[in-house]
Amino acid sequence: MKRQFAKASVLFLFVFAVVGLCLHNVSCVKATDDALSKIGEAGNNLQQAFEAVLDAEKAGANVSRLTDVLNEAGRLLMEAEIAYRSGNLSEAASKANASFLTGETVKGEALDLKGSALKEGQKVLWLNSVFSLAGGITLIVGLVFVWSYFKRVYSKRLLDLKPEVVSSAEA
Amino acid sequence: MLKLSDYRLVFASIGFVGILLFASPTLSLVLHLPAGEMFSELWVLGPGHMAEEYPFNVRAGENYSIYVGVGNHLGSVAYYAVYVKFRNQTEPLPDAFNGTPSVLSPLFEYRIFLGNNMDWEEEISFSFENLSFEGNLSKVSRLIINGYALDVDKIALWDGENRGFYFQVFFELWLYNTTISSFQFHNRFVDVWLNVTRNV
Repeated sequence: MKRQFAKASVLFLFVFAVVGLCLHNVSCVKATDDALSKIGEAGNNLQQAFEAVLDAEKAGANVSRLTDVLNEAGRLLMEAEIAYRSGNLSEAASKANASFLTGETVKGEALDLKGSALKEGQKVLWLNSVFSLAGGITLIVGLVFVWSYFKRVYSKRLLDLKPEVVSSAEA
Repeated sequence: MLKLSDYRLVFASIGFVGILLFASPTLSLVLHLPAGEMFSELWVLGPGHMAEEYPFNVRAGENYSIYVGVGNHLGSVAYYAVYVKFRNQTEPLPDAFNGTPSVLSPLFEYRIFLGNNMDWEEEISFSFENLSFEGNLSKVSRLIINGYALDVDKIALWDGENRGFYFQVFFELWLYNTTISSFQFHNRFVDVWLNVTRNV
């Protein structure tokens, strides 16, 4: 009886250890996958954030502050990768997550900046067009008036000129 | 006295120049003149921020520093990656002729976002751990860059001609290409030769 109990205990301990080991391995693999996928997501998000900043700049926005924030996100991602390589998975996941969130903030701000830059650009284009058109029309109308006045004065002066008679004897 | 047709030409010229002047603010928004030459810079400087006194004879346990910099003159904000790589004399460098990077994996990488005409410079401090020498072989097991310990496990053979065990730290510049949504080697790299010596 005692022998059977001992056998059962050993078997139970063995099964418990094997199951524990498997669960530990599964959780390790899960942590590795988790950190790696977070690093990948943060990297992709950083690329999208950069493209949003580039679009905002093309629309005429000043993006110097956003590039500073992007650099911070890039530094966090670099630290996440180093932590991952050195086996510090929780730090890797946390830094990658922080990088991801910073990238998200940049994306939102870049979109806002692009919108306001486009509005501002349209306003400036409209004002400049009005200035160019009004200035051009004023200039042409003014020139037409000056030209007609000038033509009259020119013709009058031409008519007022006394013809000089030169005798053939003097010549 | 000028003829009336000559005066007409003068008036027409004044009108044309005037219209161009009034239209110039609008034209500057619509027309984009070609920009100047577009390029990126990559440099490595010694510890005194000059192109001199680069670390050369290195040994275990001592700290060395250099500066790496990138300059953006591409006309817009750019996303760069600087890959720090470490090689012995037999491993490949990037091929500047074909524009291909070294196949070695980076030990360390910087991700840099730079506005047009902006520069970035970073001090890189490094030291060696677990240097070993055996006959005509020298092995570097671990390199510490900016406080991060990185396993390298590189072996250099004794170079009889130049009398040393030579390794090279080099930096590759990569540029993010929005068309393909990926980094591309920007065909620029700089390097520093290191002669690993025994502690006396």
